[in-house]
Amino acid sequence: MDIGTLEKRLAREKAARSEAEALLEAKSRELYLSNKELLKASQTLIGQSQQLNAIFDQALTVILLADGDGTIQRANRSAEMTFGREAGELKSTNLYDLLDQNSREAAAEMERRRDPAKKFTAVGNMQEMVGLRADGTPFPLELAVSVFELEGKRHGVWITRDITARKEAQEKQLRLEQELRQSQKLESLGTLASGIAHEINTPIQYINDNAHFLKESFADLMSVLQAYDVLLQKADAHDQFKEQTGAVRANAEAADVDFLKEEIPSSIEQTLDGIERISKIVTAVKEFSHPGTTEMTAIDLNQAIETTLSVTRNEWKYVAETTTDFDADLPMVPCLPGDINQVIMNLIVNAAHAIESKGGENLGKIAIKTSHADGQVSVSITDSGCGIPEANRGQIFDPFFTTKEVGKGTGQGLSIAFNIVAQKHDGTLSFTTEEGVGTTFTITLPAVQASGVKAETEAETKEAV
Amino acid sequence: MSARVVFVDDEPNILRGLQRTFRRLRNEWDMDFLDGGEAALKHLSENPADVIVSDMRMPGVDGAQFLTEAAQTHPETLRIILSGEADREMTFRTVGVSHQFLPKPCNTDSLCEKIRRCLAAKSKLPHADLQIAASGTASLPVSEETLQTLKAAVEGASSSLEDAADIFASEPGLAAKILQLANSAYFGIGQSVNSPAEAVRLLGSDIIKPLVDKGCFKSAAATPALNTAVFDHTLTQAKSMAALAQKAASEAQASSTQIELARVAGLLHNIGRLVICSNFPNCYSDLESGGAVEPAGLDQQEEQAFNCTQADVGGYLALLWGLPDAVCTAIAHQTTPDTAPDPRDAVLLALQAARQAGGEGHEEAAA
Repeated sequence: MDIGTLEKRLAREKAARSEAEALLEAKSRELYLSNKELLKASQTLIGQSQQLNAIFDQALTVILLADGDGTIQRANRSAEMTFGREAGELKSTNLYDLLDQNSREAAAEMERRRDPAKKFTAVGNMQEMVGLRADGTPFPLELAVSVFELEGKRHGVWITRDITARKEAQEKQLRLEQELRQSQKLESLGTLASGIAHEINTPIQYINDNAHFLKESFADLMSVLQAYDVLLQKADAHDQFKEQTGAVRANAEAADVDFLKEEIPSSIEQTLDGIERISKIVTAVKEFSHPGTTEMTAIDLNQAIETTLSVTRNEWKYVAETTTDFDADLPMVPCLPGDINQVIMNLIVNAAHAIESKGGENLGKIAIKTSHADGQVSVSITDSGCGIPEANRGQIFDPFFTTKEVGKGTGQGLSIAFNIVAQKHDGTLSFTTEEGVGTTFTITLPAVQASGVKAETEAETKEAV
Repeated sequence: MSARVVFVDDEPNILRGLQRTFRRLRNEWDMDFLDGGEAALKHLSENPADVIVSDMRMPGVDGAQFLTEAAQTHPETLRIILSGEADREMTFRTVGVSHQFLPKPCNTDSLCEKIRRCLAAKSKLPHADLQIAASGTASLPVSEETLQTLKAAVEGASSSLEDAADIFASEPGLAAKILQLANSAYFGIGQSVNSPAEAVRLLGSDIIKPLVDKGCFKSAAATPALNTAVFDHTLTQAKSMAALAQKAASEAQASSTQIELARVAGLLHNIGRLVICSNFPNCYSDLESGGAVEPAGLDQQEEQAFNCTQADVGGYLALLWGLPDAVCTAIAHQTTPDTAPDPRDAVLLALQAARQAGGEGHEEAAA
């Protein structure tokens, strides 16, 4: 091979080599760059995953991921706290075991309606259900269910939230509103009633005075008439003034005087009776609506009951007879008079309704009894009504619980009564009942403490001795 | 001479009704029926009266204004309000110038009975001065110390009705006034209330506080004419009698109501003396010449001065103020139990026993 050829070859190979080196450098540079990007991507992924985990765990709502059978795969911190179970315990638990019986069906129905083909289902409408804590205590929650498929397998995600606090706040709000409405209604009724009562008082005064006057003066007139009768008989006996005595007799007959003699006094008597009754009612109304004292005032419960009975007469007179057995030595009770009147009224009206719904031809019985012992005063109101079915006994003091027909009751009566007695007066309201036989509601209230007066008089006695 | 009774109302039907219903008393009372406060004032300026029965809400001169003037010009009258309705401000103005507040509709028989009993008690006081002193009494003197305690009890942020109840039950001046207000329909429907504490609870602090603020309870210190020596003695005596009468009733196994009434009767047994010592300080001349204050001596001097006893004055005031019947009777008949309608009444007997135990009865017997 000549040198020229060799040199050419060498030159060619050198060129090829440097070309290869350049290529290598470019390639390795490329590799370096893509590796760098990969690293960055993987870091981003790790970051994102941490972020997702953090969101998952820090979320205030409960998030539960389950497989197709409903067995929990993942649960967040909220889930542990809400259901009161450890993460380990939650895993492998079935989702449905976290709900009470009724809610299980509702949740299953929600899940059935979800179409896994739709990749994304909005967590729009949450449903209120009842969940169970680890110890089986039920609590209100709201739940949304979504379903998706991953690697050909069906999965479910449950998003749920404990709404106990919200429910309580709502109920409290409702109760307050209801009470406010009720008390406003009573207040305006009271104002109206006492205004009317006052208006009626003046005419009653003079109707009563006039009726008394008629009664007395009729008696006076009667004695005059009797004297005339004697005169008439004398005239007859002496056979005198025939024309005049005839006229007197004719007039007396036309006026039916014998009837008048009988009926006028009894009609006046009945009028007086009626006035007496009106006066009693008016006094009762005045007392009942005694301008809303908002402070504790000592009252005589016996009298308050008497008053309430006459104000509510219309509610019970066609269904029941009422009897009272009052403790004559009942101590005064410090209370909010309007509120306590309302409690007694609610219980009496309830008793009447219980008797009404039992039916039957004879009048039922409402018996009210007062007594005191150990600084406590108690009032029991017993009816011969339908009694309270076992299933309802736990709920009768709950707001809005009612078994009455729509329009008959708001379901507030007993709840308000309970609230007034227990919360405002530090008393108790309890009941005993037997279905078909009747119910007794018993209110106990702390009586006025007489200790102060006693201690003082003891000191005085000493002084005097 | 028949008693002169004046009825005042702006409603003609009421006046005619009263006129008709009281017609049967035409031989016993000399009655006038007057349309409104102005007409009544004019009538009173020309004619004396023993009893005034007035409405509250009247156009022009209303009941409160009319009674205020009548109380000044005719303090000897028995002043009764007969009203269907009155606002609280107006009612406060009548406390002190009227004796009783009857709500409409009222039973005219019981009104008639009230008036008769008051007039009968009044006739036992032979001196016109004494009659005026009793029916002109707006409130009885209360010791300055007790009044301050009461003010503190109702003013304080931690004011308690129970504290006030105890204070009212502790002095005759306070107890009598609060019983008067609660037994009448001034601030309620008027119901029979036997104990001062019950009266306080019934009226409530809404009423009690303004009453104290408006000076319805008068301090002994603000009664210039008061004979303080007699007042102090009367107060001590009243408190000790209250305890003794309560004890006596409870030992006699009286009912709890009677025991409470006995206590009140004891506390109020010498309110007549409170009237005398705050209006006629000089009737006790013996004291001025250095005599000791002792009950029999006081009785004697009062009798010399007025020809009647402090029991007569107290009995009259109790009736005027409409205090519980048993208390009125016990006060009026404390020295003459045999003339009481029921000499065996538990409250009267308890007060007798208390007087024996407290030495009053004994000394009298000696005197």
